[in-house]
Amino acid sequence: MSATMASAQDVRLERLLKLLATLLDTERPISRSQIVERVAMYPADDAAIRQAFARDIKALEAMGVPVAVVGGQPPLYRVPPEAYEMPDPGLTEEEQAALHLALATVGVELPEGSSEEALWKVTGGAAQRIEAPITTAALPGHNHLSVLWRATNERRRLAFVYNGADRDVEPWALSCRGGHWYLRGYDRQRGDDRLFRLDRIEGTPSAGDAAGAFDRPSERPPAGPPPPWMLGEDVVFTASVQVDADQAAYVGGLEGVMVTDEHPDGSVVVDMPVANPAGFRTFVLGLLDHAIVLGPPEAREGIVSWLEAVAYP
Amino acid sequence: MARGRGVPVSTSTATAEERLRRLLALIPWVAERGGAQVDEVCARFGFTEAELQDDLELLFVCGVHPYQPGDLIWAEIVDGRVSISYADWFRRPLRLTPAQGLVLVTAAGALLSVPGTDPDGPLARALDKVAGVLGVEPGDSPEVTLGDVDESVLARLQAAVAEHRQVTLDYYSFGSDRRTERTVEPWSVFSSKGAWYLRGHCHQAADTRLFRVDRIRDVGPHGAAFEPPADPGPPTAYERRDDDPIVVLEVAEGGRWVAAQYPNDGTAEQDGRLRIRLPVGERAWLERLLLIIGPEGRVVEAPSRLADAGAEAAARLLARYR
Repeated sequence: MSATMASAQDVRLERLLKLLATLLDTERPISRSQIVERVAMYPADDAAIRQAFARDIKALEAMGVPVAVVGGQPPLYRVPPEAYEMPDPGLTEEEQAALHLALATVGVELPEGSSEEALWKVTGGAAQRIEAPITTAALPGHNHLSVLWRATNERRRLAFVYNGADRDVEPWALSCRGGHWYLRGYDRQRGDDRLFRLDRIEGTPSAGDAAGAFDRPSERPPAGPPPPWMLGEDVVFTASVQVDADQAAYVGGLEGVMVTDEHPDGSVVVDMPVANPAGFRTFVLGLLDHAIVLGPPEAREGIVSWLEAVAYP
Repeated sequence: MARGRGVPVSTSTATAEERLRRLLALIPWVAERGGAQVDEVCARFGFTEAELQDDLELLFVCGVHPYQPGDLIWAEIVDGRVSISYADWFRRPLRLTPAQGLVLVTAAGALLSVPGTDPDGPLARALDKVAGVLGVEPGDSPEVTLGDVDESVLARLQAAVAEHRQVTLDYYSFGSDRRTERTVEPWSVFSSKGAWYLRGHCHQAADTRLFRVDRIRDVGPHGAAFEPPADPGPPTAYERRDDDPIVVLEVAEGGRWVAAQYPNDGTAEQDGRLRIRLPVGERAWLERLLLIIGPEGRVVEAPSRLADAGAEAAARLLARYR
């Protein structure tokens, strides 16, 4: 890198620092020409000033500086210190270290969510070198995650397209399960709460202008999706399934599954409510020879005729 | 990943914006404690001493109009100590952006969801405090599940990785649908796409293997010490083996999900149906897939020993219903 380029960076950094100090310093919003005069580092001609100033404001906003613009002729600018400053979370050294370890362990792939800068702000960087953790976890990111998160916290309504239909949603909660992000919320057109998988949202979701536009139910609904056999409105039947010793612990431990009988050979009989017969079939067949459906008759016959279609095509 | 300390931002390549972000975090930290050692500042914020010197010199001429001595920031390095004063505009760090807040509460919440983490420990307290400054109400943080796992199995695997000790696993192999006993040199434990994995060298396979932690029924006492490889490879959830045979599956509408769900060697449309070239590691894996797809799919090309896997499995299961 040439010396001129390095010094161009220095000049720009100095100008941004002076601009930000000026905007934070002023008690009343001030115009561009007042700012340009005070910062005293902008180019001479009008068009160049406009361009450089617009670029600087954009750069500050991109890093999260809350630039308040009062519309009008000319527009006025200010950065209110109370909106700029992060309150002190008051973390102890032990809590800071725990947070550093958490971020070294769990990677979240967010396009604009630098964990390094977040830690600078919250803890002033790491006091000690963090050893590579034994355990690591990678969470997927998603382009719309920040927008949805902000709308959820600020109770702003969201508009987006899902399954080819326009949605007007009151976002309640985000969750990440099985490598996918989900948004739980109230779908206003459908008059019911729904679960949206983020990677199936089409286009770019837009958040409403009004914060506090709705109340979230006080009891938090289940964040993630139900198991495949419960993906449906109503329970169609309760299946009775015999599971051998190999898979007994796994199946018996699943959500909503109840062990009704235990045999000396380690096999068990379980009851499981089913809202989605196809999901149930997939689950049982996935267990191969480890499970047979005992009842009800229509569930058992459904499995048998499906297997016959595969055995004798 | 593992960005706890961060990659140093070099002033020679860093943009003015990147240097500004770093300075806005550094100034309040140094000013608040009335100065700090150069070494410590460099370590915490990823500077070299020369870069820090450059940025402080620049800071020294900054302030507000009319730039008289009383309007300027004071920044200097004396005897290996950094001092910054008269920087009241920047007395607190800039607020976290929504994305930064999300990264913090998500990472902390995810780790807290791992069985064995103290729910009232320092991490939980840190999360509460950070949520507090973000204005995030209790219950608003994303609910993150890294995968079902047995606390004692996970703890024993982590200890074995840390101590470089072999372990014996009672393992249910989903692919072959068999319970097996394995002796493994454990290299790493990680969560990916909602499931926990153990990666290491398996003595039985005489090769690197990946084990789903939720399919480990038991971990035996720690065995002999081993030397872990210098580079154990990335924590990825799928490792394909070159000698896996290829099965070409033809599916109707109801079986198209297979192409999205499983790594494959490509797809082709054929008279409204989709042909998928699937590498198949184990027969039981293919049986399960064919039973689940049912009448929506059929095998059109396969090594002879796999050609009738679906029909044979279905007949075997049917026998149990009669």
